[in-house]
Amino acid sequence: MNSVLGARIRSLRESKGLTQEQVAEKMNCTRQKYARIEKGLVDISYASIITIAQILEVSPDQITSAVNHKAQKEPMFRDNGASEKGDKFQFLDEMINTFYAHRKLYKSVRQVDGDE
Amino acid sequence: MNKNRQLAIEKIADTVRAECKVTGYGFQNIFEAAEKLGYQVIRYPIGKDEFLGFAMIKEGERIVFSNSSLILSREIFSIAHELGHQKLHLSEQGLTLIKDDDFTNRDEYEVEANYFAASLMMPREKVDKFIRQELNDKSSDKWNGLDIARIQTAFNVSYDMALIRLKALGKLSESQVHYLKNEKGEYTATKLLKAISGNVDLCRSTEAKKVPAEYLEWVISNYNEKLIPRKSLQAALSYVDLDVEDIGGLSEEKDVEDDSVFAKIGT
Repeated sequence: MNSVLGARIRSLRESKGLTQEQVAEKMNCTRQKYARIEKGLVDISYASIITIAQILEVSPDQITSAVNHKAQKEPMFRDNGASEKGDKFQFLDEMINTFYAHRKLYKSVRQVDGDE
Repeated sequence: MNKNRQLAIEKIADTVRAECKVTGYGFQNIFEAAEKLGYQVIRYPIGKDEFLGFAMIKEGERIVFSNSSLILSREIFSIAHELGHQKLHLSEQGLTLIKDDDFTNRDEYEVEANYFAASLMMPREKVDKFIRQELNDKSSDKWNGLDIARIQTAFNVSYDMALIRLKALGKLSESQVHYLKNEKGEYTATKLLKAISGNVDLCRSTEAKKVPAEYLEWVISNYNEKLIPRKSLQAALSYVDLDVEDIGGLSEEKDVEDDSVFAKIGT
């Protein structure tokens, strides 16, 4: 998901003709930090998305819609040509999400018990 | 990274060692130590050419992940590096994920996390102590691969990391590192470790598939409380190569409707 957002931000920035340095400066962060966002290496908060949207003079929706339009489920192993690195991370992310969904259920049951 | 930042990172690393009650040279088991510190440790063999690890904050919990397809000494370093990201860079309000493709990346956060890992695994004063007491103060120009293997075993680090750290601490010159690397070319690190009955496991990958025990507890408890179908239990267990049959003391299977709240999870 981060890589999708990052790629979208990158293309919006390039279409505005801005460099990474220019955007990073407006965000008050280092170019390296900003580059990590475009590479999809870091989680990006909604607040940052709004800031970037303002700098690029677009609506935040134009950034986030990239994620919504992307098919939710992708095959674990794509045919050659696509990088598998993302897939491995996605696999782990799904695994963690699965356990966390269980955690939510586990805690919600106990929450109810506690209230009685 | 300036001197002040270095010192600050060293202090944090010292605190972590103290919290983990590391009294010897290296960590007995850094994976367990990280769990005792309150981190959720996940290990998974995702392939030798894949990324090395990541640090994540999720719903207020802190997760460190390491790729167990790498040799153990590198995996240990990955966990130390990810702990560095957790201590230095991640926060609930800011960054919640840092993924590491390789540790040679020169960006500021990577340099800092590497410095943290090095300070955690091989603190300056412990290295000094080892050289004095275990190597009898042998001058470093007389060191050979076997001495490095002894350092490796004491601190649980890879041959290369030992050299990098010794050079950073000013114990070895560039040319000595070069010579010792050749030494490694002549024998492999494994042979060197065998020769001194050192920890040979450091040179092998464990291929461990490990999630925190509480993860499995949540799943099993949800099944026993009849909140999820057997299928969901099986799906979650299969992540760590377990079958429902492997788990004792489960409640009897009862039909849970698949269109229950939970049907979308783990199927």
